[in-house]
Amino acid sequence: MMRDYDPRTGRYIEADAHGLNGGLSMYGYAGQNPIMAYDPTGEYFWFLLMGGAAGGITASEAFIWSLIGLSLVYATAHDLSSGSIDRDIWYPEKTAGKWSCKARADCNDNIPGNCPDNPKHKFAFGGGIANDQGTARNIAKSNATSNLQCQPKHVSCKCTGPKGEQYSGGC
Amino acid sequence: MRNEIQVGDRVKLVGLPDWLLHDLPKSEQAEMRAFIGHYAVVTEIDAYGYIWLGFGSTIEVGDVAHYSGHSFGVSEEFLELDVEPDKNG
Repeated sequence: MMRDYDPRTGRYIEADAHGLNGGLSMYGYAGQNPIMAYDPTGEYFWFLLMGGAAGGITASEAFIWSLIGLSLVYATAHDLSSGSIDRDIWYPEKTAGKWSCKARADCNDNIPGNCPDNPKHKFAFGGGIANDQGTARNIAKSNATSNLQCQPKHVSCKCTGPKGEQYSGGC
Repeated sequence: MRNEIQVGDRVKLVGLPDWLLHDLPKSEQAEMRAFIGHYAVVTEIDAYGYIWLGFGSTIEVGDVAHYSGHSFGVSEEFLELDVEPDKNG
């Protein structure tokens, strides 16, 4: 999904569709590093390879290097760790007295014709908040699988809540 | 003796197929590989015949608890039916 970028503020106008999974700021640009990374869609980073970066060159120098085509690597989410950047889920923030869960459902690509062609649609996220972990987890899982719109092969959950409730089963 | 796995059975995860893991984050791949050799209860058999089970854990840090878990579907070849559920705890 394309996001509108405001060059005056260096920030996107809309929030990151991935919520807080895209980083601490949902409105940030390229990990708050607009010189070192170019993010044409708001979802992918262009990483500039700089052999001398670690040796102390400035960000401006690095930018010039990139313009003269010294080296440029386009790294999409799926080039990096087989899509792991986009798919990562993190523990939700603590909500007083409640359980918060985040889930991700992954499309079963072992079933012919099941998954959409667009790699970004091969997984989906969902969230849930409830007084107990089981309910929050089930809501998050249900939302993730509903958003997926194909048969899942896997659901991952991460939850945060008050101590005292142990569970060792699946998502 | 019954060999067909059904919902509610205890099974041992004996392996994981590549198609299940290949596009998951590396950290989750490692977590799921750690489940191999462990037992779980079958929660569902989906419309395509995949047998669903899950593993997870809850840890407590200060006054906050974190749960992390996975549920997934695999074919029967990656599971062993627990014929002695009492013995295997």
